[in-house]
Amino acid sequence: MDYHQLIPSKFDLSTYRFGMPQQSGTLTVLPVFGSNNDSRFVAPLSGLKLSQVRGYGNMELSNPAETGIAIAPLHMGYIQDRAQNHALCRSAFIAAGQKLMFEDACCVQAAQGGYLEGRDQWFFILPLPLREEALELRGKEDYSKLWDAISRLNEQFGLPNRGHLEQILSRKRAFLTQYQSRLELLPHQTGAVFFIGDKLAGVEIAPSAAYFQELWMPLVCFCYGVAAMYQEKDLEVNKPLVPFSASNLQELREQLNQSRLERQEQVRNWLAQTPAEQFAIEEEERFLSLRLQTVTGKNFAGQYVEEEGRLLYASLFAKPGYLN
Amino acid sequence: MDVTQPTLANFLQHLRTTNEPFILRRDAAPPQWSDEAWHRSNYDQNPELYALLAVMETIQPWQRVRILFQLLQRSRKGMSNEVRGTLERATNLLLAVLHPDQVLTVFLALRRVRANHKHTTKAILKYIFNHPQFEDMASCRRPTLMDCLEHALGKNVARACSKMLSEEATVNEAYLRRNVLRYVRNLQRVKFILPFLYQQGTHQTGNGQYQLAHRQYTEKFEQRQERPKTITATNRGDISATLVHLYRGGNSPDLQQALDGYVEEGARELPRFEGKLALVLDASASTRSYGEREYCALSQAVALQRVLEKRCANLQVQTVGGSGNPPMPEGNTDLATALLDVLESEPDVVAIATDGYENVYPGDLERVVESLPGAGIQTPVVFCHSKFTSSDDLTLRRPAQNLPQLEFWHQDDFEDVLLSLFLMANGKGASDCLREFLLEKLTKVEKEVAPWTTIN
Repeated sequence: MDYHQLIPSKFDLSTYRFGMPQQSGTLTVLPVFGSNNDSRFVAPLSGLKLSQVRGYGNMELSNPAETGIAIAPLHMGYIQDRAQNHALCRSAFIAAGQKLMFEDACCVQAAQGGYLEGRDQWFFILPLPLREEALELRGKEDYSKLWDAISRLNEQFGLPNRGHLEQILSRKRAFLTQYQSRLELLPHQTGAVFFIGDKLAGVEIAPSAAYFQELWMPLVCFCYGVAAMYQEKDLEVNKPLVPFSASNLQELREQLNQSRLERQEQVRNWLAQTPAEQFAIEEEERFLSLRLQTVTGKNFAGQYVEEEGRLLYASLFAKPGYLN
Repeated sequence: MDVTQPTLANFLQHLRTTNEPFILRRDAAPPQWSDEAWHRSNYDQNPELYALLAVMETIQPWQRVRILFQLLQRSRKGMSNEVRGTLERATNLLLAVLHPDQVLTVFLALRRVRANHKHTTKAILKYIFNHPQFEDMASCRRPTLMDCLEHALGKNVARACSKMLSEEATVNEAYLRRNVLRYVRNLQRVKFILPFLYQQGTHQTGNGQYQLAHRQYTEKFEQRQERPKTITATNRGDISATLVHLYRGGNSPDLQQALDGYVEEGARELPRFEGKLALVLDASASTRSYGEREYCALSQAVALQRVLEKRCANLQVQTVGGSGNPPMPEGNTDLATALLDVLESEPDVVAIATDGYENVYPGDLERVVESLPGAGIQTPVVFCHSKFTSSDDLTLRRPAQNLPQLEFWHQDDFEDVLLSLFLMANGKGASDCLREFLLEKLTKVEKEVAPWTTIN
């Protein structure tokens, strides 16, 4: 399988391997395994801490580790009871021992008083339909900048039309969290290619398996899971059950394997049919030899981290206009 | 593997899941129960096994009523003394644990269908005359008791005995003894109450106490199983609780030793199977779960594996995903290939113990199962859901609707799961295994419950 043309630079991706696709409902995941398991980076849940929220729209993250760089995952956010939930519009580097204030964070819960407390807690990645707008609004200091987009998303789900993201993430949590069971993280997995229906929905690459393990649930449940849940709500799963024509066990095994190869071929076709992109690339930040770049194309956008032509982190997602 | 086939396994499942009332209308119609034919055919096939099914705690209350009716309605002609004895014991247990009004409904239904075998008469008379709340019942249900007694004794005999006991007529001791007194434990009580039933113009003085007579027995009967209100990782049975601690990293000789002990103890009271059982054990990444449920689904499935190892003469285990002992949850869920793997060795029955999340590929298991008859495979395959609580939402966790489904979340559920699995393996000595197991269980329940109906 070839997704080289989707990565907007001349990276050497020959070291990446793909696993067998997994599918549940409308969501398909192609596991990615990177041979360069870079351990210089701290994982986002155990390594990054929400240290404080100072006024609406200002969220401070810290990397309390003595060594190890943190790459804040693109569009990470936190939810707490009785405090206004916040999310980031961009990724960032946070060195060991450093605190970083994001003054362009966005509130994802309109009309809720209180600030998030600094403590260990689970994080989410913004739902896929919000990511394009959130990325465009990076750098803009306006805590209410995403409320309209959240309202529209809530409306799509038939929920009250207001800028409260927790209406989806908390109330639908029981359904959304099943995605981490419906699709399973594999040992040593460092990334994943996501499809919704037959369309490429995102490419997520982490610098290490430990990093991706902590990113997996926020990604599959809250980012891509929300988009898949929207597709699944009208889906009628009533396909006729056609048995294999095998007349013995051996033939049955062969026919099962054949059907699986056909499905893998189908996933390959989905990838091949993804239109090639012309990306605009914009450097956001440097950390020693690391570069954080923003890429924007017609159908896809996102951010990635590279080091001398070597891809370390990527979060590229499909724009809503492409998926719908 | 058609779940609608009238097999013993399906009948047992029906007894566990269907609780439609046994209806006796006020007209002269016989009782109405939609599954009458099913009960009748199971009784005909093996009356002893049929009677023993009443011992299982998990069958529905209205099904017990049906069993009691069937046992009392049908003839025992041609049965050995041993079988008659078992039927008698099952009847006595049912009479003690069923609500007295339900028992009286059964008696009235027996009258409607004119069932008056000796064992029927005996059961009715012993129940009424020796009921712990006879006075109260006589006061509250006077017309019903008269109907039941007159059916059992005959109208003239019942009235004659009543008159003799109230000394309105000349007492014929032999007559009284033959018809009434030989069933009676407390002669004085019956001497007083039987005439009372036939006294004109008496008012109801009872307060319904008789309706509680079965409570002490049902409570004992039903409380044999632990069912915590708040479910945690460690109150779902000792085996899985210990496994959860092992999975959490608390590996120690003490825990290992305790685990072996709990498995031994838990397996001891479970049925045995002499055939060949294949277990597909799902140890994929999803079986780890997370939060308070972490490792719970997998631990209970591994607990099932451990007791199967003790009770199956020939067990083959095929693990999906992770490996090790106990297997670490890892990898994706390819149930279809694992099923094909175990079918190679021609087991009598296959159990798939899983959390129900199939992702390589969704629908493969269902399609393979659908293809098995065409491929010449008739082996029964059973889908066994490993859950955290009894009320888990399985909507997205039923990847093969064409398989019979069993569920378990607590160690106490293993008895039902094992029985169902063993019964699925038709013709492999399953009914012998069930008979042996249920007879032992009956003896145990009789000791624990000590029903008043068995005291002579």
